[in-house]
Amino acid sequence: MKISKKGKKLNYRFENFGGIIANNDPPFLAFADRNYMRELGLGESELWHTSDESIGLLSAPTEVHFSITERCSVRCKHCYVDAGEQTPGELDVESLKRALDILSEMKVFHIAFAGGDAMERPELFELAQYARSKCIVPNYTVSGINMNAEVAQKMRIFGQVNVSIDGVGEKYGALRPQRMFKLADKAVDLLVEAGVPTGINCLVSRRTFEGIEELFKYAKAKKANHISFLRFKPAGRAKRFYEKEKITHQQAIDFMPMLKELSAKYKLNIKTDCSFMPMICYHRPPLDSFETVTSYGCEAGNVLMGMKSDGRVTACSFLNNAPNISILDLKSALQNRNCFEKIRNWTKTAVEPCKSCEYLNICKGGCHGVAEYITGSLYKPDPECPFVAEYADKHNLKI
Amino acid sequence: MIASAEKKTGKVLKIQCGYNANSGSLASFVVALPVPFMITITALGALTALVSSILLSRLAQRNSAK
Repeated sequence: MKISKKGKKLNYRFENFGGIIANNDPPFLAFADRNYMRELGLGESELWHTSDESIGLLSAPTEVHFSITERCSVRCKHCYVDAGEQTPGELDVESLKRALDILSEMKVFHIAFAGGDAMERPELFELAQYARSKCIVPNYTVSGINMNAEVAQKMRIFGQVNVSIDGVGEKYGALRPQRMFKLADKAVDLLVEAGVPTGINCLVSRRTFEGIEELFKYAKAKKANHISFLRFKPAGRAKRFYEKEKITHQQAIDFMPMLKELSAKYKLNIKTDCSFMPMICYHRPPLDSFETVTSYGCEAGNVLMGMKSDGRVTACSFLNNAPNISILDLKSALQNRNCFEKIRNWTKTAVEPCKSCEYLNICKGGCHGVAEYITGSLYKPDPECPFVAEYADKHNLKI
Repeated sequence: MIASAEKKTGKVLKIQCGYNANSGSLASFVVALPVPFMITITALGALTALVSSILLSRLAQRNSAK
């Protein structure tokens, strides 16, 4: 860590291709080549003793989804972690700080606090402050419950706070308790007023799909800085409703052109989650448009990892086959390459139609959580990728 | 440390913009204004240059602190 006279920190780590440099204002991660790192005066790295200078498998995740409790009083029917009561083995605050120490040693740049509802732990802000002290930027998504002006001010500790709103007014309640809309709406106002970078999270299901334009209008009026669109996935309680609520094949195809149109119309930035990459690639964007700005497909166990509230590490929050590795042992597990190697190297063993897909190295097979639920194997292609569905139809296959 | 007069050859290869508040998945900016669909190569070039200037400014601050 280098600290300048003005207290500005140059937070970075080395990688085989050069290194990653984190900036907070404006927020970005720059993936730089070896010469760039040298020219910044950051020295040389042992990781450069290889001829492979491609950006592929990283030495550590850049972000970790950091669950501190499974307690949640909202109890949405679709909750992907089946949150509600406290589960056995929840780490105490000192263990959570030790976990943050480990992530800091690994030079993880960002975390997203997760749950359950992380606000049900009174130590949330203490942990967020601790993360900041370790040069890790904490981020957070809220339901709106327990938000008031004082709490909103405290939320300034986070790099970004999103509020879960899948639809406006009556459309809010497709997946969440309708009574929560007023609280979520108020939370957006309080956060924006407090100067917290605030976005909207929209869980895209068959029913919420129809309300997306209204949500753009709402987010724009509320001065949200973006909308993040998340795919409805079969995990936790959502498994019970998955067939009924998942987006249709036609919605999967229509999704990106619709976002393109609405983003332009409402002049609002959007993000989509990694599981939507097949739906983006289906429209055959130029490959070079992915080269300079990071656009992530499945990066489970590589760019991204999850930590459960008991400290076990997962490749992503939706993959439950945790290898029983504690966050405290993650550094050595990654160094010894006995952690998530199969999913990290999935593209090497990809089968058709992914194997010959021009977007293989970007998409990486779609959502492996969806694949695991539908096919029984997380290593199969995502059956809801429009390319995969059409391939299966054409060849009369069940994928 | 390469002196400032020397020609710089290093490159920013890729940029990840913003923070991800989601605790379930990674997020990518797939539409950024005012570009209609995926960010264009022109915009990417401008973004890379901006990143470089910010990082070099950080470097200058660091050097002045030495």
